[in-house]
Amino acid sequence: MERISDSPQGAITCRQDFIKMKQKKNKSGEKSMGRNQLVAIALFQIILIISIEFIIPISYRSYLDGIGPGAGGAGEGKESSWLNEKVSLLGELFTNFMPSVAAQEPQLYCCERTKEGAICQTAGQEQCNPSFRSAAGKCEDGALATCVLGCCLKNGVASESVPALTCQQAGGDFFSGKSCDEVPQAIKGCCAIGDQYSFTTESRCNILAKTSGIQANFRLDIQSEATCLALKFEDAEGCCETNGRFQFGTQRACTEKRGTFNEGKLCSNPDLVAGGSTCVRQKSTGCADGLDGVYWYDSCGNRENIYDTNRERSWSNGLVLPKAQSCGANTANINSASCGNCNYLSGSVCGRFNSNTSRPSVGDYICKDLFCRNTLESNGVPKIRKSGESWCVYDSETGQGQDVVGSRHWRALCIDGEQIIEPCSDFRQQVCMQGSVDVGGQEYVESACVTNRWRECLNIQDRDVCANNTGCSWFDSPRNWEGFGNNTCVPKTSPGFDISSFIQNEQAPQSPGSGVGRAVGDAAVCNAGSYFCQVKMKKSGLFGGGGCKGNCECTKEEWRNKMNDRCNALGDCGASVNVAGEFTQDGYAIYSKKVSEEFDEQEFFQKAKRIPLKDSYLNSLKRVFILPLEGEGRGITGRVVAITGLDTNLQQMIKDYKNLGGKMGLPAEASGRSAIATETEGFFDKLNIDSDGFSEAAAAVAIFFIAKSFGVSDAIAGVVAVTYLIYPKFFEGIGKEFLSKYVSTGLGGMIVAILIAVILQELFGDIINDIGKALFGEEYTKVVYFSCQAALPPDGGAKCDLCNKDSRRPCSEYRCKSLGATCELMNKGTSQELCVSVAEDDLVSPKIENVRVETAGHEVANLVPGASAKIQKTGGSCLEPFSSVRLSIIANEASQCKFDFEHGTSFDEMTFWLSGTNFYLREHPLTLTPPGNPINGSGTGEFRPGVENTFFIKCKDRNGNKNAEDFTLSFCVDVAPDRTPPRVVETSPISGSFLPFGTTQREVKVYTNEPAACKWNLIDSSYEQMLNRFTCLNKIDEVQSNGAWLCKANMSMQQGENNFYLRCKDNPNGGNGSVQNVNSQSFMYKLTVADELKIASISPSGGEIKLGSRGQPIPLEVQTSGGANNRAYCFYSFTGYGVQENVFSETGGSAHKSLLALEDGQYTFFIRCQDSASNEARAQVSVRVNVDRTAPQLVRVFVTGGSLMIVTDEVSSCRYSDKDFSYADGKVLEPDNSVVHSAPLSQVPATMYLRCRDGFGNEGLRLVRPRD
Amino acid sequence: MFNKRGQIVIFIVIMILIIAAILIVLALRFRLVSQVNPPGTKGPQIGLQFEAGIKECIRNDVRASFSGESLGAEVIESEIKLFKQHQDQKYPYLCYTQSSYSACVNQFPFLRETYEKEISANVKAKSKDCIADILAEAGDDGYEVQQVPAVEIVAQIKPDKIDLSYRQEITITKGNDRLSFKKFDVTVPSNLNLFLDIATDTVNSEAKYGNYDQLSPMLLNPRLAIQRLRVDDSTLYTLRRDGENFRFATRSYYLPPGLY
Repeated sequence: MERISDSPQGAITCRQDFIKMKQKKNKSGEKSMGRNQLVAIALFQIILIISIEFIIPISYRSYLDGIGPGAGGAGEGKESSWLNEKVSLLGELFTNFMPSVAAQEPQLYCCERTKEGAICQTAGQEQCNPSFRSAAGKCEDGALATCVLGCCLKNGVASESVPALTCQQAGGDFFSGKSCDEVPQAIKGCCAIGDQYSFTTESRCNILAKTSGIQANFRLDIQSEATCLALKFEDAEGCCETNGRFQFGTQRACTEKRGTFNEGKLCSNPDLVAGGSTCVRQKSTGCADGLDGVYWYDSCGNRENIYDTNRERSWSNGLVLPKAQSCGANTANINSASCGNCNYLSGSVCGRFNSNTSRPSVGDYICKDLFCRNTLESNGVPKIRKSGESWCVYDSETGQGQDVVGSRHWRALCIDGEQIIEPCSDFRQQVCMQGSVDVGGQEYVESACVTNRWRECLNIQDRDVCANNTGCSWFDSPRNWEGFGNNTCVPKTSPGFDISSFIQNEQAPQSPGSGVGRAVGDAAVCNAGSYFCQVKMKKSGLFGGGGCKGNCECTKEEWRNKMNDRCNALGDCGASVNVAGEFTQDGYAIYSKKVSEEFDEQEFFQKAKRIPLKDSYLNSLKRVFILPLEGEGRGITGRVVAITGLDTNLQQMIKDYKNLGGKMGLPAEASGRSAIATETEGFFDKLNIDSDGFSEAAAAVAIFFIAKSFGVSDAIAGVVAVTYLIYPKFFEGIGKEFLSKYVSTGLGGMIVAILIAVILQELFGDIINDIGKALFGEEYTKVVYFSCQAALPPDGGAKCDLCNKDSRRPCSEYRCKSLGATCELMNKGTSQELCVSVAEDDLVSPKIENVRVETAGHEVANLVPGASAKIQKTGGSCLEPFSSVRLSIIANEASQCKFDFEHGTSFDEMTFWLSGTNFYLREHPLTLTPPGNPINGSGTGEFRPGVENTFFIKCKDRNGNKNAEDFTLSFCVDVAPDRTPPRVVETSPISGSFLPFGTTQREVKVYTNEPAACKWNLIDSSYEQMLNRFTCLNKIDEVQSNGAWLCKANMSMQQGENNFYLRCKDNPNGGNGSVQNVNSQSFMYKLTVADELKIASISPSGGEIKLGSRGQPIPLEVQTSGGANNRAYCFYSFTGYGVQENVFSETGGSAHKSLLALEDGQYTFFIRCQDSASNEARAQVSVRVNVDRTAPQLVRVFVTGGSLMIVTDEVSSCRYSDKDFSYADGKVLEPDNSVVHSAPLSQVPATMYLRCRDGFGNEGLRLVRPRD
Repeated sequence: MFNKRGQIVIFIVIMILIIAAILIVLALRFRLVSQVNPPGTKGPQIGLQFEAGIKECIRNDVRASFSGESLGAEVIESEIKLFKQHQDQKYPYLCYTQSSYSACVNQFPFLRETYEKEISANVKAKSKDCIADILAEAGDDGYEVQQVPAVEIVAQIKPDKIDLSYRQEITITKGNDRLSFKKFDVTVPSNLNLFLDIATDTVNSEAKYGNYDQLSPMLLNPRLAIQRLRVDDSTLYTLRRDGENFRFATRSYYLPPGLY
C-alpha cells in the first residue's frame, strides 16, 4: 500500500492485481501502446489536470473576491464580521477624541509681549498684549522683526537669545541670528588684573581694569576657567615692600604696586625684619582664598606657611615652604589638630571647626572632611562620595520596562561635604546616566540628566537602527516565537504618562491634544504592545492526533509574561506596580477563545476566557533597587521632533486578523500539492494506465484535489475519489450521457465525479465532516489576545501619604497620583504641599445624571437619572440610517464606565469600555452609527432597524464603588430608505499631501459615511461617465474602525500636482426597488509629487580648517533644494547615516546650521535630510581641524636701506617698545596682517621688545637688538 | 605780723588754681578746634563721626535691600511679571518660552545694569531719612548745615563687594570752622557679582541647550551651592553662598509627557 497524499481522508491505494487485470484485457486483442508512450500520455494528463485545478478555482475565487477587471465591487476577500460592531472600541477612540486629525491648526502669532509679561512669545492672538506689537506667524520664523533673536553684547557681557528690540533699547550691540560663540567680541579669555584672575571677555576685562586702575593682561589662548584661575598659583610668591609697608603676595601684584619683591620670603623673615618689617610671625591661623590649606598668619595679617604645631618646621626660617614639603603632604589630614595641609582632591579643605569636627591645637581652623558620607543611593546603602562627584539615584530597577509607575530618576551631587539631590524631569522625560572619569589618578563618578528619546523608538522598525539609538533597545522574543508579532523597538527607559489626563473631573468636554486627548495618545502607545495570536489546534479523534499544531507558545505562561514585559517597556502600561509596590489596575487583559471562520469580535470578547497573570510573575514585578546603569552623559543639543503614525500597528493587527475566515483549508492543500511532487518517483508503477493512456488513478488524485479546492471537505473528496477509482464506469456513464459532445469519456467522468463531490458537500458536508472529525480529529483555531493598556493607579487612596515621607525625594503630582486613584497633590506651589486622598469617605457609587446629544437634530427623551434614557431625532422619530449621532454620557463624578448587551452583568464582567477607554471621566463621549437597510436580513451586532435597540451601562468611581443597577440606553433606527448621497469623510493620504519624488503610483483610500461604490477621473464628469473604479468594502458589516466604509484605488501620479475628481453612489449592491443616491458634485482630491530633495551645498566643503583655539565653534551649514514645499529637516552624524544623529539647531527650511566645537583631528560629517514626503538626501564631507596655538615665530630679522625688516612665519600684526609692554600700548610695526614688517632703524630702540599676534590671538614676546 | 609761711601757701594755692584753670581752658579749646577741623587731618572728631554716620546709613540701606533670602528678587519682580511659585517662594523667569520643545527667550539680559540702577535708586530713596537725621543732630550741636539737593549715586557690583559712591555736597559750619563733603564712598561685601555671573551663564546655556551643568562653578567657587529643581515644566535655580540666596527660573526645551 502506498499513500500518495498526506491527508488521512484522501488515502488512495493501488492494487497490483487491478493493474494486472487491465494488462490482461490489453493482451486479449486490443492494440496495446508501448509503456513509454503510456507514461507520457499519463504525465500529460496529470499536468493538464493539475493546471485546470489551479485555473478554475482561482478564477472562481477571484470572482468571489472581486479582484481583477470586471470585478463588480464585491470587496477584497471575505472580511470577517469582527469589525461589524457599530460601537467599536477603536471607532469611538478615534472618532470622539481625534476629530482634529484632519482639522487645521489654530493661527499662531508672534507677541512682542504677552499679557503675562513674557517677551517675544509665539502664542494665540488673544494672549498678545494689545499695547505691544504682534504679527501672524511664529517668532522663530521671523514674523516680527523686533523679536528676531541674537547675541547681545553690552559692557563686555554677552547674552544669548536676546530679542532685537530688548538689545537695542538697552544700547547693546546686537548680532542678529547669531549665537554668542560666533561673535568674536564675545569670546572669553583669561583676564589678569594684578593678582586677580577671571574668565571673561576682553572688553569686560578692560572695564574692570579701568575701574581698578591696574593694567590688565588678557589671554585669549586660555579657554578654560579652571586653567585661568590656576594661573594665580603659578606666580612667584614673596613679601612685597611698598613705602615701608610689608605685604605678602605675588610678584605680579608687587610689580603693579611698584614695590620691592622679596621672592620666597615671608614678611616675618629675619632679613626683612632687620629691614624694617614689624610683622611678628605665626600670630594666628586661617584659610586663604583659593587655597585648600590652613595657614599661619603674621601680626600684619600676611599669610605664611601651612599650619603645623611644629612651628619651627612650618616657619622654615622665614622662607616660603611649598605644600609638598609641609606636614602631612599628599594626605587629607582630615580633622587633624596639628596639621593644616588639607588636600581638595583627597577630600579636605580649610574650614572653621564645629561640633562635627575636632578642635585644632591652635586657632579655629581645621581640615574639614569634604566627603559625603550619608549618601542617598538607589539600593539604600550609603556610600562615601568625593566632593565633585555626582551619581544617579533611581526609585526602582530601571530600563527595559522595569521603571515603576510614578518613579523618577534623580541626580545626587557631593559638594564640599554637602549632598545635593537634583531631580531629573518628571514622567521620566529625562533619565539619569552616569560614567566615571579619571581626575589626577582618582576615579570620579559623573552623571547627568539627559533627554529620554523614547518617542524615536516607536517609529523604528529596523533592529540595527534601533540598537544604534542610545534611547532604544530591541525587544527580542525568546526562541524567535512566531506568535509574538513584530519584534519591537522599545524605549530603554519607559516613559511615564500624565495620570491626571486619565482622570477628568471637569464638566466641559475635552479637546484633542490636551487632557483626555493626550491620554488617548498615551493609550495608543500602550496599544502597540497588544497582539492577537492565532493558535492552530487539533482536537483528538478516535485515532488520536490532537494537540497544538502552530503558535503554541501563545498558550503558555512564558508567552503571557513576555507580552506583559514588552507592554511594560512601552510606558506606564501593562500589569505593573507603583512606587509603593502596589499593583496598578487595568493595565492588561488576556482573552482566549476558540473561534470559527465567521469571527465575531463582540462574541469573542463576551465569551472569551479571561486569563490572569500568575502571582509568581506579578510578585516579581515588585522591583528591588539595583545600582544605576553605566552610560555616557549627554546634554540636550537640539530640538526634539514628535513622533506620529502610531496607529499603523493597530491597522496591521486588524488586517492580519481579517484573514482568519475562509482560509483554513490552505495548509492541507499545500501539503497535498507538495505530496504530488515528492511522490512522483515510483508513482507510475502504481498507476492504473489504460489503453488510451487515461489513468484512472491519476484522475482519482485529480478529483480529490480539485474537489477540495471547491471547498469540499477531505472526507467527501476522498470518498468520491476512491469510489471513482473502484467504479469509474459509473461516473463515465453519466459523463458520456451529458458531456460526450464536448469532452472525452474519461474527462467527462472526472467532471461528473467532481460535481457529485460538490453536491454531496452541500447536502451532507456537515454530517460527513463531523464523522470525519470524530474519527480523525478536528482542526480549529484558538485566538489568544493580549491587550496592553495604560496602567492606572489602584483604587482608593490608602497610600497617598507615602509621598510626603521622603524629604530628600520630594513629592510631585505624578508620584502622588500614582499612589491611588483618589490621591491628589494639594497646596501646590506652597510650602504646605501634601499628597492626600480627596475622597476617603466616599462610599457611594457614581450615578449617570444626564445624557447630552451633541449632534444637531437629535434629542434625549425619557431621561431618568441613574436609570435610563432614549435617543431619538427631534420630534420623536427614529435615528436615520448611517447618521452619526454624538452623545456625552455624564456622571456625577469622575468614573470608569462599561457597557454590555446583556442586562444584569456585573461591572467587572462587562466586556466593553464606554468611549473605548478605561479613563476616569465625568463625561464619556459616545457615537452611534446605526446601519441602513440590511441586505441579508440581519443587522450588525445588536442594532436592528425598526426595533428598539438597547444596551446597558455600569460605572465605577476612583474609590472602587461600582453600580449595582444598569443604566439603560435605547434607540431605534428608521427603516425608511436613504435619500442622501454618500459623503467622503476621510482620505488617506490627506488631500494636499506630498508624495515622495518619483512616485508614479499610489494607493489611495477613501472613506465614506455609508456603504458606497466610488469612481474617479482626471477631469470632472458625472458618476456614470467616470472611467476608474475604486475597490470598495461596502457590505454593512464591513465598516472600518473609524466608523466609515473603505474604498481603495491605485492612482497614477505625475511629477508635481495631481488633481482627481471623485464621486460615489450609495446602496451599491442594489436591491428590489432600492434608491441609489449619487453625488452630483465631485470631491476634489489633490496629491503633489514633490521635487527631488537635494543637498545643494555644505560648508565647510572639505579640506583643512584652522582654528585659533580649542573649542572655537565651527559653523556647519547645509543648503537644500527641492523636496516638499522646499522644506526639510537635516541631521548630522560623525559615525554614519542614521547613526547617533544630531538635529541641526537651525533647520526646517532650506538653510540648516549648527555650531560645532571640535578638537584637532580628522572628521567626516554624514549629512542626512528628509522632508515631509519622506524624500531623503544624503551627503558627506571630510575636514581636518587644526588648532593654531602657537604665536607667530620670527623667521628673519635684517636691516636694509635704513629699515629694520622682520619676517614672521605666518600673517601677524606686530608691536614694539623699549621695555615689556602690553600689546595695545606698543608702537605699530607696519603693516598689520602681514608676514613682513618694517620700521625705520632710527626709530627703534637698541633693545627692542617685540610682540607679534596672529589672527587667532596667539601672541609672543621676543627681544631683538637691531643694531647688533 | 602776718605769717610768711601762710602767705606762701595761699600764693601756691592760688597759683595752682590759676594753672588748673588755664589748663582746663586750653583743653576745652583744643577739643573745639579739633571738632571744627576738616576730615582727613589729624583731628576733628566731629568730621569723622559725621562721615561715618552717613556712610553707615548708606551701608545699611544696601544691606537691607540685597541681603539674605531674597537678594533683590523684588528687583526683577518689578520688571518681570512672570514667575514660578514653589514652596512659597517666587522664582522669576529669566529665560522663558511657553512652547514645548523650544529654546527659551532671554527675558532679562542686563541683570547687572538693572541691579546697579536699582541699588542706586534704593539708596537714594531710603538714605534720605537717615542722612536727614544725622544732619539734624549736627544742627542740634549748633552746626549750620548746607546741603545741595542734587544727589548722584553710582553703584558698581564688583567681585565680592558692592562699591557705592554717594555724591552730594554737604557743608556744616560752626563759627569759623567749616566742614565740606562732596562724596561718600561705601563698600559692602556681597556675593551679588558672582550670582549675576552665574545667572548669566545659566541663562545663556539654557537658551542654547536647555540645560546647564552647575557642578563646575561650584567646584571653582568655594562655599557656593547651586540647587537645581525641576518642577512641572520649569527649572528652578537657587544660588547660595555665605548666607545669601539668589533665585530664578527658566523654562526651556520642555518635553511634555505622553505622545501629544
